[in-house]
Amino acid sequence: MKTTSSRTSSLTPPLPPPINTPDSLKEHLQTALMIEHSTIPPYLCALYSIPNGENVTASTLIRSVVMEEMLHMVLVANLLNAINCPPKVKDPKFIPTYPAYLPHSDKKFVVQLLPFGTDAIETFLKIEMPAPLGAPPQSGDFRTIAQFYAAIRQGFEYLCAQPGGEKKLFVGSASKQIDGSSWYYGGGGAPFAVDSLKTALEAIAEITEQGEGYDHTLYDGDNRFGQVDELAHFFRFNEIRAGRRYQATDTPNGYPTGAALVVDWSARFPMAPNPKVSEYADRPEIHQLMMEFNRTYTKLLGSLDTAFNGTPSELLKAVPLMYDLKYRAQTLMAIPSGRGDGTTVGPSFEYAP
Amino acid sequence: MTGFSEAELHGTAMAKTYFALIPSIVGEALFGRLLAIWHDSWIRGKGDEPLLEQLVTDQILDDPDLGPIARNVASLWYLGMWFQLPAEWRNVHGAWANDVTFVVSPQSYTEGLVWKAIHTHPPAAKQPGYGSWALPPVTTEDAS
Repeated sequence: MKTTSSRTSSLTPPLPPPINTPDSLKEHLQTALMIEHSTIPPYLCALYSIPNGENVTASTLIRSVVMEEMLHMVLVANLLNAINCPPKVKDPKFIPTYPAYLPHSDKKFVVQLLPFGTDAIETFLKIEMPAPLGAPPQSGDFRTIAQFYAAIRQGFEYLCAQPGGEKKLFVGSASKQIDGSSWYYGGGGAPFAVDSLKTALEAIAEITEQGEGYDHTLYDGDNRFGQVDELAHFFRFNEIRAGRRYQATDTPNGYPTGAALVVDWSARFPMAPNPKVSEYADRPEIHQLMMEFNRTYTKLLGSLDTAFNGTPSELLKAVPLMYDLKYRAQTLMAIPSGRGDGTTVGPSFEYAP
Repeated sequence: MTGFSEAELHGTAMAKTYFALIPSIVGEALFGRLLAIWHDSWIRGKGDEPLLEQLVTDQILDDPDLGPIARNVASLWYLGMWFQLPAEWRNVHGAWANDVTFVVSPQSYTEGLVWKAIHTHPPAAKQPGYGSWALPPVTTEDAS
């Protein structure tokens, strides 16, 4: 396996990359699982704050990104299971307390639960920011998520380059892998089993390319996985911000110059930022609805935990919970917060077993 | 009157639509009277369920002018439909042009309280997910 470090002088042995033990790889993959998840509540808040039938294109774009984030969670769970490390999902520490930094990021921006609006889309662009050309892999305090995954990729390559490395690393049970055949549906692409360096690198490529684009293009390169090429997440959000679609002649460094994408920034429920159940302790009717949302959300995490840890069929049971969560979120979005500023309540995504 | 909390009613996102709809059907005067008497009952019966119920029954439901409207408002919340007021009411108050039986909007159908009350989803909307019919319904019963 050719690694970047193998190109250095043959006289001095190359330094091992930051992720150079199976334990460190496991720890970083668990962080990756948390990062993938941490983007979902903010995206869902923006999506569910759009009333049915309004901002149709924008909401379709946001929804398509969320679907792929869920796929990424499954792929990271597959990576963890491939190296025999149980993915941990049902855990209070798994959920960020918004406003929050992306886990293990360089803390350059906070991620908040906001309704659809320019503030939310600006944050999403920061989350999905492509790595600059030649940016180094970063195993901690990362600048872009792609650089974090680059460090994970290096870790896989390094460990597999050791004598017997690949065999020693991929010792997870095949029955814990979630593939697209039975338990997963709903778009965003299909997950696939990870059982080798090749499939691990494919999983990492799928995740980062859907986010920031394939090889510094606008697109995710998914035609290589038997799917239709789509704009990467960053560029989908950029279309919403610019109010314009990309066309074939556009480049990643420029603005979209295609057809107009009509966005009505006022067509949304103005959810108060970063809601918390505790703010509504003296409003029992609202408090109860928020608690019900959080219990459903926590149940969903429990379902995912079970699905990722040996019972893939549980993933099908998680689907009704996801729908239920959506309807509950939309209900909360429409309830006046009583703050006197025209805001509405919104879902808080807090741990409630 | 619906058995659902104020927060749940707001949660349907239909409140503004209905608030504008009712006076457009029965006129501002009757709607204003209904609101004023409801407000009076609510203030006097606050914190005392049986008293509130009594006041609403006496002052609103048993009132020949307001009773039919109030019943229609409750069924509006439940079914997202306005039902033409009874003939006796129309003989007294006249046949208002908009007082016909109709479904208010696609949203009013999906947001009807009836679906929540019977723990299901509106057919052809708010789908609960493929295969969910083989699973027990989602509940959020408080363990405590």
